[in-house]
Amino acid sequence: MTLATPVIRISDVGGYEALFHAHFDGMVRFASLLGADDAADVAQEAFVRLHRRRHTLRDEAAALPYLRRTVANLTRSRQRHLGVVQRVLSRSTVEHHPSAEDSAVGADERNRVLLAIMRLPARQRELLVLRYWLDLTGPEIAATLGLPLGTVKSGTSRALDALARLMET
Amino acid sequence: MDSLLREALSSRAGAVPAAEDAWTENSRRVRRDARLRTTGAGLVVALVATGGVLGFRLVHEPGRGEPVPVQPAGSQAPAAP
Repeated sequence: MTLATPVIRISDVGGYEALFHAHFDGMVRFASLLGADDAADVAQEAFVRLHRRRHTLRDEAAALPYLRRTVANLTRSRQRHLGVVQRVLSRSTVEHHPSAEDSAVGADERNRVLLAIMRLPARQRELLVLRYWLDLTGPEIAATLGLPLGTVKSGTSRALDALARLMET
Repeated sequence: MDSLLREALSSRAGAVPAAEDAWTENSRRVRRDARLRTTGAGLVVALVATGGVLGFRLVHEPGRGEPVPVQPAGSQAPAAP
């Protein structure tokens, strides 16, 4: 017997709140990985926009891609308009609090990867985060970013090449 | 490369601190958003109504509000054709 995950209907009373509590922290992390200067603010704005559209989005399955796309768009837009990429880059190295895991061998390597990811163009960074952090499939990424599947595949491949080149330099 | 990428992203995501009082802040933002949208919709209705009234008058009551020429006292009325 399989246990079906309960479906959260956003337009139901309490549905939006349940969705918020289930996914807000994840959206903050997502925005942070994309290089948002104020990840919590981006996530809050994405949820406000979701609330506006709660009657047109059926349930959690429809809401999550919408939230991720909104977070990605808001982050890209803020970076473009505020010119904060450099600030985020320097801050991400300063604010990284080393955990016990970090003290192990490989922390340096991870930091190099993170710095290289932050130097990628926004779209390539989005593709890698969706693929390697959220473990989304090609079609899911295509639906999230509103791109054709072929563009997602070629873009991910180019992003990996660019990442490897950046790590060599 | 794949596993290194996954590890790096997970480690960075794990270092992001959880936001405090996020739900309270979201409720405040949602209320403000609803208020702004209601105000905006009210302004649009007022503008459309004003435009409609002015447009109606322009079409159906031409000359309304323009000064009416006054015949000076004692002058002859124009001869009837």
